Amino acid sequence: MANGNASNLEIRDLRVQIEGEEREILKGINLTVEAGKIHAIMGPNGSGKSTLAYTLAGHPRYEVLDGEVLFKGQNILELEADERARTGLFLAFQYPVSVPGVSVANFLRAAINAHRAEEGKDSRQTAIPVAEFRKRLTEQMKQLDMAPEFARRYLNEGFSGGEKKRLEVLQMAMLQPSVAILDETDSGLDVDALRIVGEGVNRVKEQNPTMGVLVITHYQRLLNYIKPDYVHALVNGRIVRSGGPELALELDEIGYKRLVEEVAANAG
Amino acid sequence: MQANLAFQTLPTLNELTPEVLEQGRMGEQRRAALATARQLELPVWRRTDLKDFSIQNLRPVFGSVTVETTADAAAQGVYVADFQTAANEKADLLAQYLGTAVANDHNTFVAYNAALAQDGLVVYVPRNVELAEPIRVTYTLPAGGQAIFPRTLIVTEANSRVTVVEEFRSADLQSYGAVVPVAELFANDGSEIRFISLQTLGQNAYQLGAQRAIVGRDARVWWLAGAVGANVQHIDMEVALQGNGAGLEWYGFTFGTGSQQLLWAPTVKHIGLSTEGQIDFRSAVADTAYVVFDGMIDIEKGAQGTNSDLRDAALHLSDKARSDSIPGLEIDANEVKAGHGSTSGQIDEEQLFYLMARGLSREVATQMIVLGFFSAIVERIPLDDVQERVLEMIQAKM
Ligand SMILES: Nc1ncnc2c1ncn2[C@@H]1O[C@H](COP(=O)(O)OP(=O)(O)O)[C@@H](O)[C@H]1O
Ligand SMILES: [Mg+2]
Repeated sequence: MANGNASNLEIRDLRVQIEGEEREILKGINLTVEAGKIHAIMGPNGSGKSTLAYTLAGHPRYEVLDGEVLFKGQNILELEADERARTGLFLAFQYPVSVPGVSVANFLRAAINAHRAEEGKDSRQTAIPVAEFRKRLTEQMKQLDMAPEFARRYLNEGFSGGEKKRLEVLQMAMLQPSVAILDETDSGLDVDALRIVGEGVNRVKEQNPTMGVLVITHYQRLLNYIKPDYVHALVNGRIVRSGGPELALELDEIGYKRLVEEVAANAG
Repeated sequence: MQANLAFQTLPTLNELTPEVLEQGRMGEQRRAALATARQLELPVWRRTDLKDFSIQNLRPVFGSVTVETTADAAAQGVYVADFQTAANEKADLLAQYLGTAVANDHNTFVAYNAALAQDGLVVYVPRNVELAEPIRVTYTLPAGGQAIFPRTLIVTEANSRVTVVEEFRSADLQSYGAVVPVAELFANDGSEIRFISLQTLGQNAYQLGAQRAIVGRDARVWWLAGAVGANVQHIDMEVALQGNGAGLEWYGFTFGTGSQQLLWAPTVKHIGLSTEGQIDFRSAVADTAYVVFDGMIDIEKGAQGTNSDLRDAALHLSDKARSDSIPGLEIDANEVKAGHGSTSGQIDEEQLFYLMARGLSREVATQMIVLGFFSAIVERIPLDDVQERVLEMIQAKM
């Protein structure tokens, strides 16, 4: 897949506010998600983790005040959300949206075809044959322990929390992005679901070793499955600490409250 | 299918003399109806703009109908014919039913229909006969200031069942003209009529009509009304759930674009004991189009055990598009369950973003959401080819 082109995702001096509000949420983020590496971002509620995720994916509500995000040789902040996705960027939503009347299978096929059409600009690729699509979908769903009926259900309509998160991972597996941002994909999952989701992400990563991953999480527990190469602490719109996997354990131990206090003390 | 139509055009309604109408019993009725039509004023409709419309300047035309039936229907003793043939062959049937659900003086358009209907469909299903294959009818409005007056009469005897699919289309999508349909459906005890009425007229056509069903004891009507064409549509519809245990499932879809003004006015009358009615109408509206859902549930005195639900939804695809929903509920019985819900709004930005975040362009994502919006209705259509036709109708508007 052309999406498989390895590329770092370089976030430079990113400052963001929410449309119509004066308050700056991200206050200058610098972070390079390296191709093939797993980065974790941890931080307390309200620190700006989802704001970062949405901004990278191109949600129109998030207004970029400054900075750039380089990916595959361009500043993707200049692209629409769909163009970013077709460039190979994927966001697993913290709160997946339900879309009545649009089935999982139809949607996924349309999404895959949109990606293939983009690649086909050079290589004359066309729509995925229905049989091939079905085969891939069935395989991936099985690996994520999803019943076949799932494919006919409407996107996130009446899904349990766990089903929603599995659907996000399924989409990632089908689309094979070159960089994946997982926004609290662990929240609301029981231990079994957590394992299935964690292993699912690892499988996609194994198939596509150059994929960069940005795992956003509140807790350390997902990182037992998805082993990060780097960990960053996000507090109040800034990355205040960066380190190796040991930082996740440390943050879990000291708690975000201490970290927030430290940051406040340093600032004061 | 349309190639074989041999149209026969009359003088304009202004110039038309009563002698043009045939002799015999029908002839008298037609002449009386013509007189009525000429006496009646244009109806005053608040939400339908007829200022650019004059029925008098249109020329009635015959020969617009094609009826497709099956060998099965004949073998099972089902009578299927175009209206004029039935008028000759089934005088008693017409005498018994015609004009009893929709009175000739309902309004001037209905009266013109009673005077001029030759094209149309008459279906009579004897007791205990269940026809698997649908009967299909197409009406084609020819070009150039003409009007057609389709007349539908469907009678199902006890414990029988039939499906009729009709579609109104234009030979020329630019031409000015009118379709004035009147349909009367009689589902007698324990029978079922499935009626699918689709409208895909050209952008300068008017669709002004009345359609009614009377439903007997334990009988059912399943009705789909779909409109994507015409400049102006105003259709009065009514289902009278007369017999005890009568049931109705009623679906509608509209897709207004350009400057179309499309109105449905469906009424359900609950009369018998323990009748059930379910209505779900959905509209999408774009550009400067205007769609109206003027729905009414009328639970009459003594209609105990009524269960009635009326839903309508409008999806706005532009800021200048408009929709009105005027659901009415009149309850004169005490042991009833009745609910209604009406929604309207723009495409949900979060849904749009979710789909775009997977690589779908804004356009494709919007189309998916719109199709999703209609799918609650589309997926209930019991015939695959009608389902496909409806999807085509919707897709053609995007
Ligand atoms: N749609 C929104 N409208 C107003 N404020 C918002 C919105 N989304 C997020 N915020 C605010 O932005 C800050 C960061 O939120 P968020 O990025 O969701 O944090 P996190 O994901 O780390 O919990 C919070 O103060 C939150 O209240
Ligand atoms: Mg969040």
